[in-house]
Amino acid sequence: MKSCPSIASTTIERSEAMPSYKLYYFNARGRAEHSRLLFAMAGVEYQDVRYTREQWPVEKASGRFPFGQLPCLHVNGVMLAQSNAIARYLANEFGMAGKNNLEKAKVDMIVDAIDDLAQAMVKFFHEKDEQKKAEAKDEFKTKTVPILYGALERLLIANDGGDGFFVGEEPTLADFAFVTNGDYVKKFNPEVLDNYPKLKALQERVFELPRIAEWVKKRPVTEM
Amino acid sequence: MSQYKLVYFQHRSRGELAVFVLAEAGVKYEDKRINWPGDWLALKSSQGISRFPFSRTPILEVDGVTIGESQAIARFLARRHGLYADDVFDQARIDMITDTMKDIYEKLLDIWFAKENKQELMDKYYNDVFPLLLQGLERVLKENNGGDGYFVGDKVTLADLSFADICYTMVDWRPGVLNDYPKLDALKKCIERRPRIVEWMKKRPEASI
Repeated sequence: MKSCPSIASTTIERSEAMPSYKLYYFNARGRAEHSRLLFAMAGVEYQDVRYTREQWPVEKASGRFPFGQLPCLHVNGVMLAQSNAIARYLANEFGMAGKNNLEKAKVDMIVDAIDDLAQAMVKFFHEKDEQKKAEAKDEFKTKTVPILYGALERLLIANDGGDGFFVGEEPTLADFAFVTNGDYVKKFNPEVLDNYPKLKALQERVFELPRIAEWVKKRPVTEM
Repeated sequence: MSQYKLVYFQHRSRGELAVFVLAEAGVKYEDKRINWPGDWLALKSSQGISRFPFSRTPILEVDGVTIGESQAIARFLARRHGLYADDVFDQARIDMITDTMKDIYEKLLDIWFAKENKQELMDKYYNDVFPLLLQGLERVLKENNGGDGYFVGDKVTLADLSFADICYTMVDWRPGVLNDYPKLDALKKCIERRPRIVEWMKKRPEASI
């Protein structure tokens, strides 16, 4: 089994001019959690701002958030929006985005495909029509997830047998996106990973990384 | 020198951003179009997952490797051909724009696929959803040297191409949508006047999305 000593045992070296990060989101894992995992993995401090449902309309009206949406990351005096733009930025800063153009494309591809799955989930979650909702849920379980998870299992195996991480030899944003999204897929389909042994082992491997395990132990427990 | 083969449908849709990047960069590639839905279903069942990683298009075949996911492809090409940014922070700003344009595109696609409530959906998105996003985009544009140039830095990047690409459809379906956003409107026109983009837009397949 592969280990990743280079990241797990060192803290990213930073100059004195290390930026201060402020991550804004709701009190949930949702679209911010893969960024939080990156911070945890890199051992980098940040302010983990979580708005309640009551606070958000006021904050939104302040105009501080470029598109009136969360998550946002405040860094270098600027507010960045879009969950994956933020995550990719942090991954690049912390050396977890892939080491060359092709690796970066592979990471991006996996993150985007997982995002498509998340969008599909959100869609049927919000569907009001009971019939349509049931149909969408069924399609999700029988088509959408198997297609994606089948593809991810193949991609994982293609990376040196699949006993490490998605891209390269160390964890990247792709692995963190997978496990955070996986938490939600499990709610609809608890045994889904039984069909994908390499993905199942990957998920366990990621949650066993010391800094990730530590974060998961201390993070607020939220339903979403 | 890499050989590129871009495989997509005859629409603009998700494939067009990569095409814009290749056009603007003046890079040769094989432009393989598949008729949707008929030929696509046939191709999927005959070549399936071995060729299409996520059973979807577009895909980019390059140097024996297949890249899937439209944004991943576009970003890969932009990085390689000088249409991205070197600074990681600028890259994040570019990504923020392309992701927002993708959000707008998903709504346009919703409208395109809608059967009974098309007009209602169009009103809802154009009146209640797009303005907030367009305001945000205009603001981000203005933060870069007053908004009379590009989204990031002082040259065209993936952000500007993504904006022009999706805006074309937005405006095509409802002219005047950019009336309240003069800087955005000017940027769209600026990109559409660039020689290689002009050349491509003249010869690209006709499509409603």
